[in-house]
Parts: sequence; structure tokens; C-alpha cells
Amino acid sequence: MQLRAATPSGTMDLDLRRGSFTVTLNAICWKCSPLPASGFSSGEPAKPKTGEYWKRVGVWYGAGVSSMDDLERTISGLRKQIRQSVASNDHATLAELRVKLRQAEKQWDEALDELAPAAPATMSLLPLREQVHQALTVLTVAAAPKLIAAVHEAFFAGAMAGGQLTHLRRDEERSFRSAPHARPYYLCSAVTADRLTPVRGLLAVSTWPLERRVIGSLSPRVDFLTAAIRVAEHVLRPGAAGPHALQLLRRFAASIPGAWADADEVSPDMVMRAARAELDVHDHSDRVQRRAAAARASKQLDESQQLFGAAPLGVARQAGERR
Amino acid sequence: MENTEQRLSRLRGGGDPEAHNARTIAAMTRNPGCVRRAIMDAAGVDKPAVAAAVGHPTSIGRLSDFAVSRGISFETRVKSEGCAELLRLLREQLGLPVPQAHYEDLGSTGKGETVSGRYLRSKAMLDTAEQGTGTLFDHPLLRLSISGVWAYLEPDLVAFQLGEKFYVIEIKSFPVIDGVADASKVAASVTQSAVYVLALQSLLSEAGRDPGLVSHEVILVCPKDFSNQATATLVDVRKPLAALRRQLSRMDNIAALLHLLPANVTFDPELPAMELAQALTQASARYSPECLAACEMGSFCRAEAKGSTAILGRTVREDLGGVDAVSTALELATGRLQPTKDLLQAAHVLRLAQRMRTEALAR
Amino acid sequence: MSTLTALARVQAAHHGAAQQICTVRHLHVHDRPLVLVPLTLAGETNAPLAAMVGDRHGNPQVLVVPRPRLREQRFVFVERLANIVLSYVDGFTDDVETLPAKRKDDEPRQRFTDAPQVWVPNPGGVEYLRLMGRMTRFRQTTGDYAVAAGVPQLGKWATWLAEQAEYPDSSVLVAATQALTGFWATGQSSLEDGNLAALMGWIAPPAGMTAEQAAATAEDPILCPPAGPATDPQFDRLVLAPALRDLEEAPSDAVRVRVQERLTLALREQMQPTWDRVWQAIGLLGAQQPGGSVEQRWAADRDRFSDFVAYLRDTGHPQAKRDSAVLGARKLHDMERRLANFEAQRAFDDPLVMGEQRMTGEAFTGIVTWSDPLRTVTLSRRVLRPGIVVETEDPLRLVAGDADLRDPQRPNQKASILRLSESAGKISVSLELQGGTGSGLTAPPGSVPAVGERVTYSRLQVSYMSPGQFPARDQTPWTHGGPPQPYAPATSDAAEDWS
Repeated sequence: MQLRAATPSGTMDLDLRRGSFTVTLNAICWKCSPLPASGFSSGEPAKPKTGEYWKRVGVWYGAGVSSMDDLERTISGLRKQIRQSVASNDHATLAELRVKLRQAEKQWDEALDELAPAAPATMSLLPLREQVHQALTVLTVAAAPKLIAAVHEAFFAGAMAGGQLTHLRRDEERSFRSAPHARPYYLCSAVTADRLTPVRGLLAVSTWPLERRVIGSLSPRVDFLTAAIRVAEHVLRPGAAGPHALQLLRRFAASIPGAWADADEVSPDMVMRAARAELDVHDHSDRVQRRAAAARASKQLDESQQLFGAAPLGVARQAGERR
Repeated sequence: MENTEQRLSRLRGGGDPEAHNARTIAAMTRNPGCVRRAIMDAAGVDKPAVAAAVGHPTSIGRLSDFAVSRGISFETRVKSEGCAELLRLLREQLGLPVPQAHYEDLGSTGKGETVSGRYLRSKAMLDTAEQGTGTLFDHPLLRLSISGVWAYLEPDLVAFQLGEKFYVIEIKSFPVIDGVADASKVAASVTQSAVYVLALQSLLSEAGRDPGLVSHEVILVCPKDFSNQATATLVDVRKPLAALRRQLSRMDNIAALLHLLPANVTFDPELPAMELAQALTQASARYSPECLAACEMGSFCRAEAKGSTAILGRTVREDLGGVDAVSTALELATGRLQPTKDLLQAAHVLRLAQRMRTEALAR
Repeated sequence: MSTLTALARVQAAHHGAAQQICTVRHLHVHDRPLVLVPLTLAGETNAPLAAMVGDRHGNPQVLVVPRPRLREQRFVFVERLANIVLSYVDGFTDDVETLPAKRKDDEPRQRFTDAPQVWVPNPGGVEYLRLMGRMTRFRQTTGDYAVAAGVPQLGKWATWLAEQAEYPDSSVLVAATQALTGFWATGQSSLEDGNLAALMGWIAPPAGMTAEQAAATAEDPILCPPAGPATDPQFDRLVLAPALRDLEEAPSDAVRVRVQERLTLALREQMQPTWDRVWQAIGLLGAQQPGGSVEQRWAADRDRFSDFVAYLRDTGHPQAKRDSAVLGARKLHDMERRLANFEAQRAFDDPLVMGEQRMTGEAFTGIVTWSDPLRTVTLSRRVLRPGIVVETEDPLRLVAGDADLRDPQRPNQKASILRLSESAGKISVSLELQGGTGSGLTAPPGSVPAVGERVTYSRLQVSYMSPGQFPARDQTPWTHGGPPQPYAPATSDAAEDWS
């Protein structure tokens, strides 16, 4: 399809050979997503009238394409230069070129954003912390972001981006320190049994007993088995055995002796039985270690440390020295 | 009077020695007869910088980011949920008893913890490892003395109590397909694992325990077929271990090699290129084409060896009866050069070969 | 490696140009080969990233996997590759020739008049096909993880090709670096010869460059992208990774199309030089005079090709993941026989290869100084056993009594050594000849070497390939695990992740 549209600098021809181009334009047209400010003199872009619309799309799309072409040329030129200076070990030029590249890429990204129609909302409507809380409540044990995301995907609608969870714990800690107990629960840390410092990469719920949030040397296994049982129980609920849930259960089953007979079929009852059998082996020693550590923690740590863990030894000492 | 340590420091142009890792230590065993390499490694010279400075930049050991991230994601997967998948493998394939499911994270606790502090923590933890208290030690920190300087090393995992022994576990992301893995990749991992085995033995010795507690087999964990599922294999590392011990003890005796160098020579990468290249030639190299993949100086040494039969490869050199120079080989072959006594046999064979080639190609 | 090749390397290093190590080419070079230049994504197991493929230099098809970590996209790639490869292979199944039966009671055999020949840049390309075959031949075309019919079919062909490449006498799958180093020696090491660009630099340096300059340039991954399947880590970081990220995050189809075009262009730039070099290699080798037995070996390739087509049309089960005991033993037997025959044929076709035998004293060349075509001996009756004496300067290691020697010019005539005598650095070999002289007591003219004639005798011989005695599959003895399980498609094969 040939398209002729007016631009500020005259007219411009667009050759829309590809179906996908047309579709996108139609979608933009139909959605009336805000047009980029750069295409207009000032202020909020007003919703254009239908008649005017194609002209504007043309202006804006055409301008976007041509500047993006330039940018891409710049970017690929820069990358070439970078590779050359890497080869010749020219570090000074390299650093400079990298900065330029980053700028160009950023501009490209911005140009891309301008082309982008609004992202579809497929994410869960609940705030992230509540989704995490939901998943952890299913598991009843401290868990890593990846497992939390998998549980959420298995039993609650919508995907969760695991990467977003990294900042969550810090936000929660800040919130607790500024206004303790203002919220009904906090997403907090699990703490190591020996030094009571936060365990890397695990999230827990503040309302759980401290004993459950202390991680001894057998606890990762015990918690894994507990989580397997909880997931199996959940799968048994009516309507919960979706493909994601079964896949999750299969993942657990694979690492528990006697939890599966056939790689394709997974039975929640079998998983529970096998997990409980192994749990019986570890449970006592684990409980003793956790209980002792929890008792120590409740004596030695203040309230927020009990939730978010003691500072690592080195850091604590430095802090002490400064005082 | 300058001692060895001071001399080594001056050799690298002052400053801290380059930190060795399992890969660079493993690579040291590749060409044990090379004096240039032994001295540079012992001094911790920044070899990539030196190579670049003399016009031979190198990309040895540079991995694709895709390979790195795949490696990390596979390791994370194997270790997730308290090493659930690894426990399965150790139980199924190596008969680890079910009660042994302990897991200790010896990884860095973040800023504030010094390397030596971490080493001490690993040492304390591994030292007290007894029946029923520890099975998997995640990222323990070990160390090895390389000509008097500590190189800190971090194996993926150490397992204890498989048959009352410590096992080094190495997680690699190259696949084992229908029971077979790429031989060169396995060989490289095995040599690296041997470095960890040696370091673990030295830790136990330091702690006053029997270094024989460390198994001479390592557990190699790789993806199975085309999947993300892991599979474990026991691999014997006695041979690379012996090679490693030999090379390290050689480097401990570095003083003897240093005497071969004029006192004013240094390999400071900041030196002018000509001067640096000149200094390098003072330490004799033993180039072979295999060096290109194992040593950062490989490309420089190849250029230096131009005109020698060494650049054609070890077997070619042997086939030529050990003749050193390309020109000598040719002159012996054409009869322009009268062989010395030690080259009589070589000359005879070369002349014969020359006759055959001329005869066949003339027709 | 031998002293002859070593000397050729020395000459190459000295003259700055590759040197021939053969007088004729021993590889069949097809007039319509299919070239495949594959690239894979680093870190993953044989994950296809892109490929350049086609049977005409000027008309390559460029296949790109825009999101190489997605399983579905990989199979879309394989499907497209299958279309190209399978239609190429199918093109050789139209014309049939009929051959007389090998044994009296058999039917006359049929075989295709031509067979496919696939070229890849290096042994990595062969391994790529082997893994590609392993990855795809077990896939199901129905059920949960259904793939297009071409996918498992390509898998079986890729497996077959890679299997053939294990035999040195087969020419259906050729790695360019190996084909070139089979004919030329360079002034660098065999390690560096593994780099196609460096190797070609020695054989045919670009205009205005010396071989050494060309080889040095070949080591710069920016000027000379690697021949794959692995890509240059720098390229991955600076070009591939950003492009894949942009694709991942592309907010609309329009943007995706643009990024994809950019990616395709970048990948094409990485493959194009290798593509050109493989075609150049085919041209260079094709221009060489073929050895006398090349045709015969290609006929054997055509036989095996015809058999495999018949197998696919018949049961067509995918090849097993591991060879059964019987198949393994049979392959080993074939390998030894074919290797021995290949060695002999090459030596007979090529004085330089025969030279290697002469260097080791297993063969000798010389001039006939005495000839008695009418010599007879009396066994149970009087029989013709012509005698000759050959004078040679070769370092002979054969001794009196050694029998079954042959001269390539008279392959049906056997010689045995009666006596050796040495004088003035020359060895005179008295030989008794048998066969190739008809049935009477007079040898026809020319059937016995005459005085002054140049002859070469060696122990090499080309023998009829006996198929060997092996039990049938279902008769595998229990010592060898008993009969293997018959093939049954397993759903787990179809579900097997692709990293």
C-alpha cells in the first residue's frame, strides 16, 4: 500500500508492503493511543478527529521511521567502531564510544516507545506484594522468587515477573522501620540459623513464627518437602489442577524418592506420601536446630532484625567502630 | 639483596599480582617446559595487557555472554530449592543415603566480609564436617599457593559423606547426549576440578586433617541430552592432579628460573612496546600451536617462532626428525646443506622425501 | 602425518604458498552440491540461530531464528531447513540405473544415477548435523508436541549424512577444511588449518595479499567472522544480544519486523564470507583432476544412498540412539575394510600417496633390469611363473619370502620376493610373478613388465568387500545383550526439552 502524508517539511511517501504495518496502524488508529509530543507543538495531544487522523499518523510514523533509520545507522556504525577498538585494545576510545552507543540506544528505545501502542494488561490486578503473600500462604515456607512466581502462575491468574521481587524485601523493610506494624503483614527475610543474618534470595511472611523463618542446614530440604506437600494439597482442590499446577507438582515429584512412577502422570497423593516419608527422616533434627536458633534470635535481635535479619558480622563491626 | 618476592614484583612492574583462577591455574599445566610462561605466571604478570602492549591482543578465555548466562542459569537451576535436583542425582546415581540432605551456603554474605574471612569460615565449616552434619557445601572458598601468593578459588559445590569422602562437584552447562559428552570440554572441566581438589586437600592439611579424605574423583553435573535436566558422572582426576602438583612445585622453585633472566629485565606492561618485546625474548619460550588456545602470549610467541618448524606443530617437527628451522629442513632435503652428525638420519629421510615429491609432482 | 606431508608444510612455509600433497583429488566433487553454513546460539545445545543454505552460490537461502531460545521457533527453523534439504535430496531419486545381480540367484539391482552431496565449512558443521539429527529424528508428527512431517525426516537424513562422514571414503557429507587439507599442505599447523579462512588464505590468498597476511587477517573475527557453528563472542555481545533484546521487547509487529530485518542482515554478514569460501573451495577442488577410483567410490555412495532411500520408504524408523551390538560390530568391520581399500585405491591412483608407503619401506618403485616372461616352475605340473629383477633406491623393508605384492598397473598379478641383493646403495629385488598372463605357458605381450619399465610394488590391495558374518538382529547372542528392543516411538522423545 502506498501512502502519501503531509509532514512539516513537505510530503512523504510511505510504502506499506507488509500486512503487519497496516495492522499496527489500524490498531493505533482504532485505539487512539496518545501520539508523541514531538509531533505536536505543545501540550497534551488532543484526540484527533477521524479525518485528520491519517495525516497525523503519517506525519508521526514517517518521522519516527526516518529518525529511527538514522539512529540504527548510527548504532551499527558505533558497534563496528567499538569492536574495532576492542580489537586494538584502545580503551580510551572504547569508553567514549560506549557512552555514545548507550545514548543512541536510549534514543532508539525512546523512539520505539513512541511507536508503541499501549501494552496489554495481562498481569494480575492485585498489587505485587499481595500476590507474593498469596503464593507464600500456599507454600507456608520461605521461598525463592522463582518458586513464588511459579506458584502464583499455577494457582492464581496471571504471570508474575520474578525480577520485580528483588526490590520488594527492601521496600518492606523500609516501610516497617518507618512505621512498625502499620500493615497487617510484611514480606520479610528468612534468617540463617548460625549467624541470624538474612538468607540470600528467600522471602517469608512476618506473621509466621520465627522458628519457621530460621534456616538451618536441613531446612532447605524440609521446606522443599513441606512445599511439595502443600502444592499437592492445593492441586487436589476442585478446579486447581491446571497445566501449570501439574507441571509445578511434577517438578517437585521429580526430586523426591518414590514420588512418581510414570514421568507423564503425577499423583498428588503419591507426592504427599513420599514427601511425608522423607520429611519424617529429617524433621526432628531440623526442628531441634531451628528451635534453638529461634530462641537465640528472640533474645539477641530486636524486632526488625527478627524480621529482616541481623546485619552481617563485618558490617555490624564497622557500624560499631564508627559509633 | 633483592629476594624472590621482590624480584617477582619488579618483574610485573610493581602493583598486585594478577589473581589466578581455576582456569588459569589449569592452563599452567599445558606447556610445563616453557620458561617464559612459568616466570610470567609465577610473577602474576598481567599477560593479556603485556600481549596487547606488544601488538598481540588476545581473546583467550573470553566467553559469549549467552554461554555465561546459560551456565549461571543451569547452575541456579541445579541448586534451587536446597539443591533438590542435585540431591536426586546423588541419591539415584551415587547412592547418597536419604538422611543426608544438609545444605550449607558458604557463599559471600555481601560487603564487609573479607576474602580471608570467608576462607576461614569455609575452613571451619569443612573442618567440623562429620557424619550427619553436612552434605552439600555451596560455594566454599578455597585457596592455593601459587609461587607464594594465595589464589582464592570457588568450586561450585563440595559434597561430604559420599563414602566418608569429600567430593568436589563441578556444574557445567555442556550437555551429555546419550551418555557421551564433548571430550575436550570434559578434559577442560576435569583439569579445573583437579585445581579444586588440590585446594581442598590443602585446606584439610592446614586444618590438621587427612588430605586423603578428598576423593580423587569429582562429580561432574551436566545437562542431559537436549534438556535442562541434570545428570551426574564421576570422573577420575588423578592424572591432571599429578600434572598440576608438578607444575606448582616447579613454580615454587621459581628462584632457579629467575637466575636465567638478566637483573634489569621486567615485563611491565607500561614499558614501551619495543622494550617490552625485547625483555620478553630474554625468557625463552617453548612455542607449540596448542599455546594459542592456552596462553595469552601464544600469538606473540608464534610470531617470534616464525621460520622455525615449531609453528607447524609437534608431530610435523617430529616427522622432520626434530630439525628446528624451516630453512635447515629445506636445505637438508635438497642436499644444499651437509648434515652434522646428529642430523644424518633426518637428512637422509628428508632427501628421500624430497626425491619422492619431485618425482611425483614432475610427472 | 608423514615426512612427505611434513616436508610439504616446510615448503609451504618457505614459499608462502600451500603445496599439493596429492597429484589427483580423491574426493568426489559434485556438480550440484548443497552447501550449508550453520550458526548456533552460544551456551545452548546445538540451538540453531541461523543458516545459509542452497545449491547455487549466487542464490543462498538465509534462515534466521529470531528468538532462538523458544522451542517452537527452533522447530519452525528446522521445518524450513527440512524443506530445502529434503527437496534437494529428493531431486536425486528420479533416475535409476539397473545393475546385474551380484550373485546368481539375486534379482538385478537398481540404484540412483546420482546422489546428494552436502558441504559444510568444517567438522563442527558435521557435528551440527549429527546433533540436529539426534534432536529431530525422534519427534512425532501427531500428539502433544507434534512437529511438521519434514522435521523427523530431516533428522533421519542428517543422521545418515553424519554417519557417512565417519567413513573416509564417503563423499556425501564433506567438511570443506578437511577436503582442502586432504589435498594441500599449508605453512601453518593443522590447528590453524581448522580455520577455513586461514586455510583458504594459504591456498588462494585474496589479490594483493600474501598467504601469511591472509592467514593473519583470518584470525581477526571482525574482518573474518568465524566459520561457525559457534559465533564470535564479541559479535554476540555487541550485535546479537542487543538485537535479541530489542526483539523480545518490541512493542509492536512493525518494530519487530524492523529489528528482525536488522538481525537477519547482521547474521547474513557473519555467514556470507564463509558461504563464499565454501563455494570457492568446491571450485578449487573440482578443478583438480580426479583419481581413477573416485568414480567407483561415488558409485558405492550411490549404492548406500539408494539403500537408505529404500529403507526410509520401507520401515523408516529413526536410527537408534545407540548402535545395537550387531550393528556396532558390523560398522566396525565395514570401517576397517573400507579404510584399507581407500588407502590402497589412493596409493594406486596417486604416486604421492604411494610415496608415503615407499617412505616407510612397505612399497618400492624401481626400474626393471631383467625380465624372463617365459620362466616356468614345476609344482604338480609345469606352470608359468615369469621372473623380473627390479632395481630400486627406496629404503626397502620387505624381505625375501614376502608375497602378495602388487603393481597398480597390473592389479591381477601377484609378485613374491625371491631374493634381495644390495650394491652401491641400490637394491635389486628378484620377483616371481603369478597371474594376469592368461592360462597358457606363454605370457601375452605386455602382461609381464619389460626391461626398462618403471614399476611399483606394494602390499596394498583392493579387495572385494565381504559383508562379514554377523547374526541377524533377533539372533543377537545373550553375551551381547540379546536381541535389541524393536523400535517403538516414545512420547518422552517428543516431549524432550530442547534446552
